[in-house]
Amino acid sequence: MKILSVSNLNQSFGSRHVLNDISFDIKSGTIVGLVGPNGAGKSTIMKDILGLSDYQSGTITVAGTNTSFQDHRPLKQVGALIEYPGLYPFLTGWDNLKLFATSTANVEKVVSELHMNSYIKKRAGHYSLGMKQKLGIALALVNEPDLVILDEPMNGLDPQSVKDLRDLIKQMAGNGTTFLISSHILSELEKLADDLIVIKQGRIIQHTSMKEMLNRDSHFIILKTSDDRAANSLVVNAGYQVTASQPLTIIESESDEVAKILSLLSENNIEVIDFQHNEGNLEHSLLTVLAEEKV
Amino acid sequence: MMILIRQELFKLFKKHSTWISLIVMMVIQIGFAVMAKIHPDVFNPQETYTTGYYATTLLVFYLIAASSSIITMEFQYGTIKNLLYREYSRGKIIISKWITLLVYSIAWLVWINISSLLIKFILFPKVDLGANLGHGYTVLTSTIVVDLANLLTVWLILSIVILLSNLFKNSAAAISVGIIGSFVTNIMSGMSAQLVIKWPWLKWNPLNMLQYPDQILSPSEIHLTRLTLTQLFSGNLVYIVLILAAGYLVFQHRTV
Ligand SMILES: Nc1ncnc2c1ncn2[C@@H]1O[C@H](COP(=O)(O)OP(=O)(O)O)[C@@H](O)[C@H]1O
Ligand SMILES: [Mg+2]
Repeated sequence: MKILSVSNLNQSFGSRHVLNDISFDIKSGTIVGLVGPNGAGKSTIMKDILGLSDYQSGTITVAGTNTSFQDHRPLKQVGALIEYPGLYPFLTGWDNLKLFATSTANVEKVVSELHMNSYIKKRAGHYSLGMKQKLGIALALVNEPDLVILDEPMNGLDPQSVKDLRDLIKQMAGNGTTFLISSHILSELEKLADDLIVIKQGRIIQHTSMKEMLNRDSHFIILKTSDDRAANSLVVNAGYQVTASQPLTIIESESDEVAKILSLLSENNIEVIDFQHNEGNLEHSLLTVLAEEKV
Repeated sequence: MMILIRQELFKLFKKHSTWISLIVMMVIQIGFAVMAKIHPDVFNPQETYTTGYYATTLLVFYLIAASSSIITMEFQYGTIKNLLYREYSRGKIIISKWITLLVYSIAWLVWINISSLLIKFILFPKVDLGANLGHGYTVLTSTIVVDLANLLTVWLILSIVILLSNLFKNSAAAISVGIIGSFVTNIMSGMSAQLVIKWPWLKWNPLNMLQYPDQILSPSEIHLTRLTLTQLFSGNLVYIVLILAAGYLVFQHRTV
């Protein structure tokens, strides 16, 4: 089932066209990453979905019902953190949550899941950047929404908090919650997202699964042998593509190549001392996609 | 809608400034009461009672500050996003803020009247609340009627403050402009009386409406305002409704 559907979204600020025919659907229970360079329009797309910003044309549907700038009743089951957390500094973290929570049990749950117990009864104005960010995330998650929209949620979080958040998002997605997450921290998105939407200058240039995205990247085999020079000429003669000789780096174009290369070396009495297999890397594939695409 | 109003009241209740204003007001009331006790010739005990021991003057500033920050604050803290992205329409959000401000202004008036009565009974047993002030009013009833009339004219100012606060993204700036604006308004409303004498059709200008509370106790002011009490009352209401509606429309189109 589609929980979110955006079609032909167009938006300009004055004469500047910021979103161009943005269309995508999100299936229930998936984690979708929204990536793209600064100013590509990620926050703007999110604001349009949330009825925070008005657009010139396009349709946005949440759980099958149209939602718009003026009428966004379907957003009842949506939680969001956009750009930076909106907090009342004169309220404690607890009161900030209680203000929007439908029950105290919901507040307690999200506070313990994000490990905020030690400071939740202090005023939010005294929080550090990371604590504010966590409170902002907690506000988005507090009522167990069906759809959660997070704009750069990892900003300012320490490694433990990043892991807590990742675990929580995965657990909630397992229970059917859908996530739309923009992030600059690609290594984090790589661990989290099922699907990826890549935008550049207000256009979607790629909407694929994370798996497919990673597969676009070349896989490498990096070898350290008893005789790198002999190994090098051996694999080159056998028709493999070598991209570097020190350390010996070979492009893997088929999945059974590792076995073939290893047996080739051992047949020629070259000992393999160390072996590394480089999987596809989101950063590399993304930069390639962005560079290829001419907008 | 009830949820939104409860949220707004919760925020007001939890703000330090709300409680600080209450303490400041009590200090000022007690201060003026003591002065009136020591120098009854300078501060007439009966008159100071009718002004709530100067609390009603202070209240105007409190209400201007609250009205200018109630929307501006949300933009300053970025909390407007949390308010707006939920299922509630912009219309409901701004109406809940008006109702909150109305509840807030009435709560203050009730408090001022209760505290003034307490002060009167403790410090000024000789002031007679039943004394006749003419035009059918006693000290007690005139105080209440003028307080309510002031509430109406203050809301005319508050509706303008709410409309203007849409121009600001910072509460402090909005509050300063609101308070300075109210001084300017007072000065201009004096000029307004002179203009009305010259051009009678100007009697419908909003500044003239601010004379409503004065005219209740001094009906001869009708020669200055050229409007009856009923006309002043309705004029205030019409202006309040129109200006609030303008603020409503502006807020409908605000983006984050
Ligand atoms: N309120 C606004 N007024 C004018 N331009 C804006 C406004 N908000 C965003 N923009 C412009 O829209 C583009 C997309 O911004 P944004 O969605 O914030 O990008 P991202 O979140 O992908 O970094 C940027 O070029 C930005 O300058
Ligand atoms: Mg952004």
